[in-house]
Order: sequence, then C-alpha cells, then structure tokens
Amino acid sequence: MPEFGPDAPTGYLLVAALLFATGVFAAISRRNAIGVLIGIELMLNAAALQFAAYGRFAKSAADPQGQTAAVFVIVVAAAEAAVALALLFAVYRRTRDIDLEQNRELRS
Amino acid sequence: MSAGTTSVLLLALPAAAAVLCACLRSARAAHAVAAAAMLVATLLAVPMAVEVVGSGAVVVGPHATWLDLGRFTLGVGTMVDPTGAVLAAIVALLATVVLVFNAWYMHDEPLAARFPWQFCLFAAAMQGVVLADNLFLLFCCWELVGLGSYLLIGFWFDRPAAADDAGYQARKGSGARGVLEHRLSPSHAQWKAFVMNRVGDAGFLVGIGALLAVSLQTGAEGDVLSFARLAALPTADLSAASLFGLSGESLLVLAALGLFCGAVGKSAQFPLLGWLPDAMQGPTTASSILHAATMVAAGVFLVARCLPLFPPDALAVVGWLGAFTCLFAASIACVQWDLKAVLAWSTVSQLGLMFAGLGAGAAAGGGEAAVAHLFTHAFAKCLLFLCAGAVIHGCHGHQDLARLGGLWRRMPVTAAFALAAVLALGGAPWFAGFVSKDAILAAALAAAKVPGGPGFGPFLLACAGSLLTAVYLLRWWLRIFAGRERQLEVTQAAHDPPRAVLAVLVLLVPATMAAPWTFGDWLPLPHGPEHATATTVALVLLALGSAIALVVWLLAPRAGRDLAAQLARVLRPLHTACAELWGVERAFDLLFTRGLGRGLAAVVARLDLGGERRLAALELDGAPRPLPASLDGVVDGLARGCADVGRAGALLHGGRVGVYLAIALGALALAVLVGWSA
Amino acid sequence: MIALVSFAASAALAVVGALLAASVRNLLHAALLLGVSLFGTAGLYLFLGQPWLACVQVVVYIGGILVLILFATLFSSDITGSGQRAPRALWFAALGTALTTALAAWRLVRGGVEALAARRGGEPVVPPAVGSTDAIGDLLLGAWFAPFFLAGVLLTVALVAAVAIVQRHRRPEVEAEHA
Repeated sequence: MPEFGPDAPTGYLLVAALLFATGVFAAISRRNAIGVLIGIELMLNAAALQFAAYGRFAKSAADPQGQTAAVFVIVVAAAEAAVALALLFAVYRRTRDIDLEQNRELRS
Repeated sequence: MSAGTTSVLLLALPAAAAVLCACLRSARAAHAVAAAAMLVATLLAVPMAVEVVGSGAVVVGPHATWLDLGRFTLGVGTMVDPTGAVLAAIVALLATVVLVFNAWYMHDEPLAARFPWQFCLFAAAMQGVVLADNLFLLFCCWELVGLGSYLLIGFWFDRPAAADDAGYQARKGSGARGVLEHRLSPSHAQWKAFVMNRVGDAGFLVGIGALLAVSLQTGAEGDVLSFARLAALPTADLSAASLFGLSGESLLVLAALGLFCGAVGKSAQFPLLGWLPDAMQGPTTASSILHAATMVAAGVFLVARCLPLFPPDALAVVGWLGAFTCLFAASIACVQWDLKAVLAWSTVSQLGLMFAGLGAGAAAGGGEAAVAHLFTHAFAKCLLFLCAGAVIHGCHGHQDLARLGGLWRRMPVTAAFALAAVLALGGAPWFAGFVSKDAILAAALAAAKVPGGPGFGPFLLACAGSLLTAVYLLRWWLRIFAGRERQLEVTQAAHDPPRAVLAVLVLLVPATMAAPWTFGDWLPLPHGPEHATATTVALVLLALGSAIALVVWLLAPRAGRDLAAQLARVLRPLHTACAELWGVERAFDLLFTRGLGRGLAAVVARLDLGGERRLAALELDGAPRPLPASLDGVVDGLARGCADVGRAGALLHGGRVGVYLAIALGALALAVLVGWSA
Repeated sequence: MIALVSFAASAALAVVGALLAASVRNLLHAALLLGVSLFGTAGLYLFLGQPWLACVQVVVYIGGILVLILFATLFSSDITGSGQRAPRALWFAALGTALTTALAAWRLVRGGVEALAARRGGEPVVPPAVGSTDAIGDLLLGAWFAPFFLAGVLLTVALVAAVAIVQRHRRPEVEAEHA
C-alpha cells in the first residue's frame, strides 16, 4: 500500500481529515466548555498536520514553509487556549460552572 | 336653447331633484319638488323632441373624455336622435304624471317621503340611458336604472312574504296559482329583479367587450364606443379582427347577442322574465313607470339603437325569442286573477312583440315599428297601471278579478280611461296600438318573406300573441268595470280619484289615440306592401279575441251549460299550464334557488370549514375544528406552520454554542461539497 | 516494514485517541486522550521528516496547552458525570455535521493528492531532509518575518487579554452578587 505509507501524502491527509471531523463532532456534541475546547484543539491539530504533510510532499522536500505554517498553527492554538481558559475562568467566577447548557445568555 | 344643452338639463334636473328630495322630510314637499322638476324637464324635452324629430338629424351634445386608456378613451357625453328625443320627452311626461298621481295615491302612506327621490333617481338614470352618446355611459346609466328599480320594487321592504301575510291571504285571488308565496315579498322581489338583471348584464358586458375588441382590432382609436363610431363598424373591414379563435363576423354576432342578453334581462324576456311580475310587489305607481317608460323600455331602446350592429343571425334570435315571449306571456296573462299580474304579463308580452319587430330588422322597418310600439305602449300601459292603482286604492287593496266588477258606476272616469288604454294596447282602429302593432306585424311579415331570414315563425307567434292580447285585456276590463258588482263589501267604497289627479291622467288619454302618432307622419312608420295584409290580419285577430273574451264573460255566470262545462273540461290542462306559468317559476326555484343555491352553499361550506355541520357548530360554540383541507384549515395550518418554523428558529438561536458551530461548519462543508462537484 | 507498522501505529494513535477524546464521558480522560492523539500526530511529524516540528508539538502543545486544559477541567462541576452529553438533537446534529465535514474533507484530500501528483509531474518522492531547522530560521527571519512578528503580537495580545479577562471586576453589583 504505497499510497497510504509513510512516503505518500494520502495517509497523512486522511488522518488530518479524520482528526478534523472528530474535532467537529466533539466541539458540537459536548456541553462542557472544556469538551468544546478539546474539539477545537483537535481541529487545529488537524490543520497543522495538513500543513506539514503538504510541505513535505511539495516539489522540494527541503522547503520549510509547511513546517513553519504548522508552527504558526500551534502558536494560534496556544493563544486560543490561553484566552479560552481566561474566559472559562471568568464564566466560572460568575456562575460557578462552565456547563454551556447553563450558560446560554451572552449578556453580562 | 340648443338640443345639446337641453339634453344635459334633462339629465341634471331629475338628478338634482333626487338629491334635493332625499333631503326633504315632508312627503308633500318632496312630491312637489320632484313633480316641478319633472314638469320643467317635460317642458324642455317636448320642444327639443319637436325640433329634433323635425330636422331628423342627430344632435351631439357636450362630450368630455372621462378615462384615457391609451388606445381608446371612455367618454361622458350626450347625444340626441329622434328616437331618444321622443323617449326622453315621454319619460319626463310620464314621470310628471305619475308623481302627481302618487301624491294622491300615497297620501296616507308613512314612507311616502322617500318615494320621490328614488323615483327621480330612476328617471334620471333612464334619461341617461336614452341620452348617452356612448355604449359605456349607457351601461353605467343602465345599472343605475337597475338600482332605481331595486329601490322602488322594495319600497315596502319590511312586508312579510305573501305566505305569512294575513292581508294577502285574505285578499288573494280565488284562482291564484303558480305564485311561490313563500318567496313573494318586496324584499325578495327586489333581489330577484337585481339578480336576473345581473345575469343579463353579464351578457351585456361580454357584448361591450366584443365590440371593443373588434373596434380596436380594426384600427379604431379614440372614443370607440360612441354610437357614431359603432354604427360604422359593420361596414368596416373586419378581416383583421379575431379573438379566442372567433372571426370578426362571429365577434359581431357575439356582441349583438351579448347586447340582446342585457336587453333580455332588462326587458324581462324569456327566460329572464320572472322578476317583472314579482316587481308588482312595489307600489303601483312605481310599476306604472317601470312598465312603461323607464326600466323595461331600456332593453328595447338599447336594441333599437344598436340595430345596425345586429347581423341577420342575431336578428333571427331576437325575432324568435321576442315572438315566443309574446305568446308565452300572453297565454299566462289570460288566466291570471290578480289584476296587476295581468298587466305585468301583458307588459312582458308587449315587449316580446317589440323584440319580434326589432328582429325583423331595419330593412323591413322593424326598428321604427318597435320604437313606435314602445311609445304607444308606454302611454297606454302607464295609464292602465294608474287606473289599476286607482281601483286598488278604491277597493282597499283588493286585486282579485273574481271579486271586483261593475266598477264603471262608481268610477266612471277611471273606467273610461282604462277602456281607452285597453283599446290602445289591444290595437283597436283609431287607437294608438293599431298603428304600431300593425307596423310590427307588417315588418315581421316583410322579414318572413326575405330568404334566409327568420321565416314565418316570429310572425305567426306574434299573431297568436296579438289574439291573446285582445282576449286578456278585454277580460281584464270586463271583470273590473263591467257587469254587476260581485262583492259589495269590496267595491262599495270605490270612487274616482280627485279632480286634480284626473286632470293629470287626462293628459295621457290623447296619446292612446291614433291621431297624435299619425299626425303629419312625424313617426317614420313603414308603409310597405305587407301593411295591408298585416292590417287585415290584425283586425281579424282583434275581432276574434274580443269575441272570445265577450263569449267567455257572458257564459261564465251560467257555467252549468253543457257546452261551457265540456269546453272547460277540455281546456283544463291548458289552463293549468298557463296558470302555473308553464312551470318556469318552479323550474327556476328548483334549479337555481334550491339546487344551485344549496349546492353552492354546500361547496362554500366545504371550502370554508369543511362541511355544513362544522359551519353550524360555529354558531353554537364558536370554535369548530376546521378540516385541514378547507380554507379555514389551510389558514390554521399556515399559522401553525409559521409558529413551528418560529419555534424551530428559536431553537437554532437559543444561545447554544454547539448549534452555531454546527451551522457554520455544516454550511462550510456543504459549500465545499457542492463547490467541488460543480 | 517496521517503518510502515510504526507509521500505522502513529496514525492509529492519533485517530483513535481523538475519537475517544471526543466520545468518553469523563472530561479528565478526554483531556488525557487528547494528549494521546497529539502524541500520535507528533509521531507522524517524525515520519514526515520534521523532527523539530514534532518537538514543538510535544513541548508546546502537550507540555503547554494540554496542561492548561487539564488545569481548566478543575473548573467543571461535573467531570465524570452523566450530564456531559449535549441534548440528543444536538448530538445528532453534531454527528451529521461531522460526517458531512468528513466527506468534504475526504474530497479535499483527494483533490490535494491529485494536485500534489500533478505538481511533481512524475518525479519520485525525495526522502525527507533531516535537519532543516536552519531553513526554518531563515524563513522566519526572512521572507516570513511579517507573519512571525504578527504571531508574536498575537501571543502578547492573548496574554494581556487573558489577564484582563481573569482580573476581577470592580463593579460593586457583581461583587455583591457573588459575595
């Protein structure tokens, strides 16, 4: 199965697609904000993997652009996690809970 | 004053009088104002008629464009031709007479104050029909005439149906048949007149539409519906005209039949004739003008004015239907026991005779003959009705021919006037009807000889109708005025109307003579070779009819004789058929009132709520559950659907992050899928 | 062969870890399973010949972000509870959306693979070049300097924002409400 092996792009991209779909499912079906956060992290991870795979199998294998873009994704993920955590903290302080079913009002 | 200006005044005076009278509370004042206005109108109309008839020219009055519809316009204007001028004068004169008579007739009637304005509106509308210079304005006035008749027929709108009216039951004729008493009331009669006229007017509108289509397709522009333009239509090149697959010629036939359909409704021809006898529910004075110069005359006038537009095929229809109605109504009039019903059916019959004349066509002189009969009939019938009103007034509402009799002693002047009118209508020599009826028969005979025409059918039917006319008119007069008094308690209080009223009535008497109509040959009556034949035939028929009426009247008191009894037995089925109006009323009632009415009600109930039971439940508890497949059900379903959609939308917008995420990502994914495959 | 098996193992680790992280009830387990998935992805980065990226994945993602998430689970009142599922309708909506997304992603993957093959124009895949960190550094401080700079700004803003959000409100009514 050379097209699914480590030296072909298909396997990586497939894994990235599955990770993304799983992230979508988690983000939507969880009612806890942390579950949603986990789903988003999965989606971001899938995006990073996608960048890396395309960079590897582009015309020049030594081209670092794919990796670099993946690093940027990780940076964005880190920033997002920090802000999300702060938000969760704020919400928790208001209602003592981060259950999204209980926090459906966006007003302060 | 020019004829054009006069024509506008003839319209404006009754209209202004109607407005003024509507503001007056006093019946006396209202009658005075209305009669004065109509008198002025008469004094204006008679010289105008003399002038226009003398010159023989068509005078065009003021005209204004009302609606500019691009390729054609609809105008408001007046036009006076000899026929119209004479008819306008007759309308004004008869209206004056009737108003004066009515002031006496209704002197103890609490609602009398509302009679003049309704009457003036009626007269103004009829003047509009007569003087309009285009078909569309004529149609508008035509509808106003319908409104006026509606108001006048329902004058005693709060009277109960005859079946529930103790007075009617006590006074009704011993031989009264064929009347659906539970449907005989002023309010029902006015509805009946209105609805039957609507049926005819639907045809009228179709006719106007067809004429408009033909005119526009032959390249005409401007005020295409004016009579001057319409008269030129049959000679135009019709090859360019077609609509719904009909050629120009067919469209003209359709237009002519449409106009005739309107006339059938207005002039109570078969089969739309049930309303006119029912219109007797109105005051007798209203009937006298309605039967003479305003309402029913409009139909004859319309066909006469549009006669150039009628192709031979349409003329044949007009002739046959008119002649048939003439005989049909005359046969019914022979056996009626209500004195007004006889006159009503007589009107239908005479109008049928006029249509028979019109059907003979302009070439045979039918148009002039019919118009002449319209004039003579108007005076005679108006006088007859006023005399009938005097009789009814004198006999305290009794109208039964079987109870009246011998009134000539108590009201000699009325009897004499009525006899003059009877002779005029019957067509006795030296009386008015003799002139015009002969002319019609002559025209019908001339048309019958034209190959490809309607044939001898209309002529023969009209002859039979004329025979019966003599029979029923003489019977009517003999039973009321001649002989001994049958029931003294009915007739003992009868008296002639006061002198002032008689002085007005006497104005009508000269018009029942032949002299005014033949004087100086101002009335263009045809004098063809058939005239001698027609005169002979008419005289024979008159003599025969009078003989029959006299014999029956003389034999009737001694009905024990074998001959009379046998004859009566033989004629019984025919008598029953005539008395039952040949089943027409019952058939209409069954077909339309019950069948169509109930059927429509069921259909509407089904559409509305889903059934009559649900509709009935609406009145009981106010909240029936409509069937989903009904109008209410659909509306309810729509409301419920909207609520459901709203609830679903609210669910989407409920602040759940997951939902927003699902929508955004799902939309994105779908966009990718669709975009990729595209 | 070993390469193929270990590659498959890494891929399976990433996918199965993610699936479990999305579906287990216990929130703590979910966070830890996310770590497993991230580890699998890091393994895949190694197979792509990008060890530096794998290191960043482990150090920043697992060492930083995942720990943050684990820390955040402490806020939840009900880590193990049965109430972690969204309403049933939403769960089905999630499944539908995920399947649609998967289908769309699969289409994109096939298109991407074809595009890659077309770009290569039949040239064989070159073995991964290990030790490309220099090139990354050149890129970040060269052609991609602006994005790099912006990423730094983003991180700073995120940090400041996080502090600003977490900082207590001084509004008295809020104080009173939670007193």
